[in-house]
Amino acid sequence: MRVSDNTNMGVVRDSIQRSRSRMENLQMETATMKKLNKPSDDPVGSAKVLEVRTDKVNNDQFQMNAKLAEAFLDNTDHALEDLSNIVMRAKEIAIGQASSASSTPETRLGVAEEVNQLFQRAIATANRRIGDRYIFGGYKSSTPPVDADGSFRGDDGQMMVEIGREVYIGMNIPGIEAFNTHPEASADYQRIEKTPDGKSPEKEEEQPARRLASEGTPVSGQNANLFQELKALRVGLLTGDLDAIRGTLDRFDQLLGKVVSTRAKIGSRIQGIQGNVNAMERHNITNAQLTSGIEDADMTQVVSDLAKEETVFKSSLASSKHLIQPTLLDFLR
Amino acid sequence: MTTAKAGIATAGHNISNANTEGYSRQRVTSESQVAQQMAGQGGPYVGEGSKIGRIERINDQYLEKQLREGGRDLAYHEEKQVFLNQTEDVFNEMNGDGLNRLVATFFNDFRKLSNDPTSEAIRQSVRESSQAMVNDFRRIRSEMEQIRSHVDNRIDGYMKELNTQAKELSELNVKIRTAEIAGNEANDLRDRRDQIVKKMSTYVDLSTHTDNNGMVNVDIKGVGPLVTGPNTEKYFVGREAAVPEEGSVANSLQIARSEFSHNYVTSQFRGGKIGALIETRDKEISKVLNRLDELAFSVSRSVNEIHQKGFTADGKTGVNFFKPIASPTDAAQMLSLSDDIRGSVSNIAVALQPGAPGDNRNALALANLQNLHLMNHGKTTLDDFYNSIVSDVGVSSARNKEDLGQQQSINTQLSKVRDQVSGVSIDEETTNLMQFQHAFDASARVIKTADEMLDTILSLKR
Repeated sequence: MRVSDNTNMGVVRDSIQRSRSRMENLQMETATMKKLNKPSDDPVGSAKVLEVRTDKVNNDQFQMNAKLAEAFLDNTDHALEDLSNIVMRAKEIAIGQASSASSTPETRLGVAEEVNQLFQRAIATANRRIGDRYIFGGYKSSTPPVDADGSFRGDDGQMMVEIGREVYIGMNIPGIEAFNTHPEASADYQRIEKTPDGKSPEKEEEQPARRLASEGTPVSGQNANLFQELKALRVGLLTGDLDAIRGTLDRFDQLLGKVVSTRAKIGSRIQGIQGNVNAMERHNITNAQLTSGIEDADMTQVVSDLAKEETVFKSSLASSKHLIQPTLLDFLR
Repeated sequence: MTTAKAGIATAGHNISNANTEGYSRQRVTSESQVAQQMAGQGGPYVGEGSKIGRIERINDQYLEKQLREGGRDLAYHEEKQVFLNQTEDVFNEMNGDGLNRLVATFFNDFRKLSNDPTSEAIRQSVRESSQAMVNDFRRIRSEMEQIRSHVDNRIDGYMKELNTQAKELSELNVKIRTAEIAGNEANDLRDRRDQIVKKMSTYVDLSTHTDNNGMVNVDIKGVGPLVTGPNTEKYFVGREAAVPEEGSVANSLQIARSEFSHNYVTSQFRGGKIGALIETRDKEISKVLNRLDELAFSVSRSVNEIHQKGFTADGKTGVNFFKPIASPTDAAQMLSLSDDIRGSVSNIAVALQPGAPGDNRNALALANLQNLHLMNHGKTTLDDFYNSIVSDVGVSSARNKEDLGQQQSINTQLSKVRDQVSGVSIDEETTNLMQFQHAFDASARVIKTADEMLDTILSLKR
């Protein structure tokens, strides 16, 4: 084959250029520690990376949401615990004063004051806030849900938060549900219509908790309201109406049952949140592995490739020396 | 002796042009002179020595054509790559702060707001992140527009060069014709002409043929003649209204046969640098922009739709979040926050009923848009749609890079083959030089011998 000088030079130039451009790519990879520096480096992979990145941002937000919801529910739980203590104490008083054997007008007058205190404490507990939000107010979170008379001024709005992709959980317990055995029958009941499209974003897992709550309360019977019962007890004590005092006993039991079942509901929600947080953390780890697999450069590989490339480059330079130098003219002296 | 001298001159010419691009080596073909009869009738025929036949160009027209086509395809891919790279840079997603992240933040801020609907600070941050998203839509849009105007400038420049070269080619046609009618071999002019045709075909797909007079005629494939013998056809460029069916937008550069014609031939230009530019402008860039507009339109429409249903902190309803946009055309450019939102963050509608500050349902519905299949007739989410734009840009660029690499290898190979045939080898020329030198020496010796013989004869008389 006829080899012209241009062919020779071309080969030399070409091999050096190629080697250099490969080295530049490797250099870019070492500098950024990433093998994906432009979408064209791996178009499909880069779409995946973007998707996972959005996932990550969302998951971080979901985790934050979950933490907030958990704090909110914890606080609600504490408030309910206080309320159940109040009901328990009221029940004790009612038992103590229900029979004429132990109850005298003097003792009744004495404990009536305590019941009044319990009533005030119950209102204060029902109006508990986190920051400037009333936890039992439903959607009416910036005004006290219970007035001085013990009437409920909030609504039954469920504040749903997204704690996982399209997984929603209610972060509040509307007071109306906790303070009444039959909230629908309560005079203060304010119904909030569900989301307009008719699809309630409630979480599936919540259904058992709700069933539990409804099992805990007697199916029949009249609604018992915590504040009204405390008032009734106080009136009974003040007027010495032992029947009325006895009458409250049963309803205090119902109320206690209701508070306990509501706390169970909160417990199951918190459990749900924690399960979700754990799942999300696992998800984040898997995602991190996935993106790392797509976009991170394998440093050992890159460094050894670079070393190899250097050898190639040097040897092509060295061979060029022999290729370029001699022509026939060098020997015609 | 003359033959030998011509040989030496040609070898010198070859050597000095060893590095001239597109030079084809030349060779002297010597012929023996027709023998003449000596000493009258019946005498023997004796050779009369050699004469210069012609100086020919060692050149394979078929190879030249392949090389020309290779050069055209290489130029096409190179030109395209320049702009695809720029497009990729506009979507600087890989370092993590492109529109993708801003859209995610936008939706997440609504989630934050759903946690704490009354917080003024979070409302502010929703507005900020929306503004950031809007700005990035506009940034991408305007950077893409900029790339498009660069493309237009280049088309303009290349068309001018093409016209100039067409002129030069027609002049060369005439020169070569004149020289060859006089019986000379216009080897170097022919090299130059090949070179110009090669350069011209890097601009656009051309077809060439040589006519009976040895003139090269060049047609732009699918458009019409460019050079016919000594004549050239001039093409004009001008800014014109949109040609939507070809994907070009208003005010972009169009190519016409004559200055005042509205019959554009722009889309018929294929291949080469100009073809690449037109394709990049009217296909790639337009596609990206259209999809971006579509995305911006969907975001603004769907967010507004839900936002209008909600109630603001002051109990107003029917408030727009973005300024309403009528159609997807230029939506990415027109996307902006509504005056209500700009005016006060309490106009963000979080609730689904008035007077319920804790009602977060509308914020949830807005955040949920991220998961809804709003694009592609209900098949893709907003996120996926955007990601697919980025990935498509990547695919185009990756494919072109690959084609470019292949074409480079092909061209290197073709050049090698061409150099095998037409390239100058210094070694070879040196040997030729020596060969002709020896021939020259020998011829000189013949003359010297004849001279001595004459001397001998003349000395007989003394």
